[in-house]
Amino acid sequence: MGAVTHWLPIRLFENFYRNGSLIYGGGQALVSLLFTEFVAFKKKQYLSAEEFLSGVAISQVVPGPNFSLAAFIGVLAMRDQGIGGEILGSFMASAGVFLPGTFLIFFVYRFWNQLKQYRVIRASLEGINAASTGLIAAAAVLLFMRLESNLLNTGIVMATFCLVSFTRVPHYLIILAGLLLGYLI
Amino acid sequence: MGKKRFFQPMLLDYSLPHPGVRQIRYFIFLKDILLLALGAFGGPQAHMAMMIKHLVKKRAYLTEEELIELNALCSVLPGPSSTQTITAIGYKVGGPNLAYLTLIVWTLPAVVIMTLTGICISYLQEQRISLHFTRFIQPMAVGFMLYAGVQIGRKVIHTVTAAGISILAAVASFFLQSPWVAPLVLVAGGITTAFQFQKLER
Repeated sequence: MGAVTHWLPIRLFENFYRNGSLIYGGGQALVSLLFTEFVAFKKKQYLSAEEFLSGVAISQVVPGPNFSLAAFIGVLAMRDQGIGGEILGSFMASAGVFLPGTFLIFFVYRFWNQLKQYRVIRASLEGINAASTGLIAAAAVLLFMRLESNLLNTGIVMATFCLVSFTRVPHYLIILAGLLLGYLI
Repeated sequence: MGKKRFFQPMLLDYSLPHPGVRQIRYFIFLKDILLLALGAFGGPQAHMAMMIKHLVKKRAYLTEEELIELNALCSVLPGPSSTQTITAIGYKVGGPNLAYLTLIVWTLPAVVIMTLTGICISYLQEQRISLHFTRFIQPMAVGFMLYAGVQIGRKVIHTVTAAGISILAAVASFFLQSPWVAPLVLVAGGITTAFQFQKLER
C-alpha cells in the first residue's frame, strides 16, 4: 500500500487534484500555487525555477485553458522514466487538475437557480476576487525574485508589461519574438 | 402569431427526440468547442469574449445573461473557470455525457501542446543543450502576470475593503510562502465581504 501511494504518478495526481480543487482566479492563481508547491520548496523540487518560468511563458501563448501548465509539470516531474513515463505524468497531472472543478460544476449547476438568490454568496465574490488579485501580485514578485536581478531582466518585465497593456500586439507574437531573440543573440 | 410559429418547431424538437438530429447537433457543438479550444488565446477574460461571439451570438446555445451568470458562478467555485463554464454549457446542451466529451475536446489541444513542450525541454536538458534561449521569455512571463494582476484588479477592486483584502493577501502569501496560504486567504477574503451582503440589491 505504501509503495502504491508513493508511486510518483499517483502522487502527481493527488497533488494536482488538491490544487485543482483549491484554485480561485484562473491560470494566474494556479501559477502562484504551483510555484510554491513544486519549485519553491526544496523537499520535492520536480523542476527548476528556470524550467518552470519557461513553461509559464509558453503556456501564455497556447490557446485554450491555462491549466494546461499542469501537463508540462507532469512531464518534467516524470522525466527519469522515459517518454512513456512522461506521457503518463502529463495525463495524471491534467486529469488531476481538471477533474475536481468539473465534478463541482456538475454538482452545483443543478442548484444554481436557487443559490444565486442569496446575497451572501454574491457578496463573498468581491472578497474572493480581491484576495485572488493580491495572490497574483505576490506570485509575480516571487517569480521576479527568482530571476537574476539585473537591468536587462527588469527592463524586459517592464517592456512586456507595457506592450501587452498599451498595444494590441498579439501575445503569442511577443513570446515568439522573445524565443527567437534568445536563440539568435 | 408570427412569434408563436417561430417557436413551435423548437418545441417539437425537444419533445420528440430524433436521435439522428440530436447527434448531429452534438457533433456541431463539439466542433464549435474545438474551434474555441484552438483559437481562444489570452486567459479567461478573452475566452469569455470568444464564447459570447461564437456560442451566444452565432449558435444561441444559451443567452448572454445566462453565460455571464454562469461565468460568475464558475469564478466563485474553485477550479479552472473557463473550463467549468464550457463544460456547464455542454451539460446544458446535452447532459452529462456531452459535458465529459466537451471537457476532453476543450482541454486536449492545450494539454497536448504543453506535453510536447515539456518533452522538448526534458530532451534538450538530457542532450545538455542549454535552456539559455529561454532567458528572455522568463522575465516576459513575469510581465504577463503583472498585466493579468492589473487587469483583474481593475475589474474587481472598487472599494477600500477590497483593496485592503488584496494588499493583505499579497503580503501574507509573500511572507508565509506555504501551499496553504492561498486557499486560507481566499476563504478569509470571501467571508469578510460576505458580511456586507446588505449593500447588494436583492
